[in-house]
Amino acid sequence: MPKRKLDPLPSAAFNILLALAGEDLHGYAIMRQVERQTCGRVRLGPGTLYGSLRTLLEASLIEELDGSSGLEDSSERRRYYRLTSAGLKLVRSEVEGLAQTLRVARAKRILRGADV
Amino acid sequence: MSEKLYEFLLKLYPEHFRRTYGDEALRLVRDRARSEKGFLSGLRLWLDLLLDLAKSLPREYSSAPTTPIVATQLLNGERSFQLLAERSLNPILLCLGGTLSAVLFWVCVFVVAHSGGFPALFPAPLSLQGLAQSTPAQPRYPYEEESPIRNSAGNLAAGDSSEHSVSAGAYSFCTTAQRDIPSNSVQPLFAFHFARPGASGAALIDGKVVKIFKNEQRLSIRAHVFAGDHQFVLHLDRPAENTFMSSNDDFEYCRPK
Repeated sequence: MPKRKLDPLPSAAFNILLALAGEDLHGYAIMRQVERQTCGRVRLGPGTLYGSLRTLLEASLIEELDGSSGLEDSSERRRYYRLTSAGLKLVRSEVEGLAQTLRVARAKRILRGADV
Repeated sequence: MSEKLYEFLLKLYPEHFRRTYGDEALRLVRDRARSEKGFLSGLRLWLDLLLDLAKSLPREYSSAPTTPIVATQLLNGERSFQLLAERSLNPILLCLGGTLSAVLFWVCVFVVAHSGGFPALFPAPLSLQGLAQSTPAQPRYPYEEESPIRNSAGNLAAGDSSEHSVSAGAYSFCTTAQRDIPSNSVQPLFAFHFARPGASGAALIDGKVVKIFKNEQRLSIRAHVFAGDHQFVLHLDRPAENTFMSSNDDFEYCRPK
């Protein structure tokens, strides 16, 4: 079931995987990282963020770390997430697909400006 | 403030989501509210939250996890299992839903009642008593008699005619020669008809009428109102002796003054 949800990979899930590619992050940090890497175009809300995280966890594309940071209160504990090897493989595949698309777009001179 | 509001909205999510990510989601909103201060930032935050709510709620409900159940218990020698309901509906949400429904209902009633193009909010009163009470006290369509026959004293000439017909639009009435012609007392209502056996015409009278048969017998009738769909309210004041009503009677309606 999770594989079907991730095929094709939703934009939110892709951005989360990309955000986790560099480091382990908690929910709020993931949201901020996604906002940065999309130049503010994507701001994940709590429902979308944690729904996507659950789907990625079920698909074993990410894993949860215990980042209690010494806090005993579970409500104050932050959950950290880490990209798994399967997740890294999937996000790499997606990025390569996008890179191929970008090459085509460049060949057709669709892009303008500094990104060309 | 934002955190409290979102804590309330969080109750809309299914139980499994709140149990797993409720605290995290609340913390995220709290962090965003702290870092995004100001009117425009707050507005953008709530726009994001509401859009996110609209997008993620259906997905969360459609992806509610299913737990495989293994029948491990034995009941009467057969394998059985127990069904566990997670939690009953929140009474606060039930009250909220009921209140919103009531508000919506009365808003619809208000709109219909004040829209102007709707003929009537409620149909004609269902009870005959209600019909009688809804009759206007004053007639709306006064009528004039046709060729009144009066003597020098101003009264109808006795012996000239036993009956005298007057008309008010499509309604026909008559009066006896011994009494004055009724004035300003006919109350025709819109499209309401007094069902009269064997007659295609109709009459509406607000007040007391006397029905005169061919044999000159009279029957006093207090006719309050004749409503639509051939409903009417009649009170017989004092039926004359040996008076009978027959579909063959060619009678007119007469109203003493």
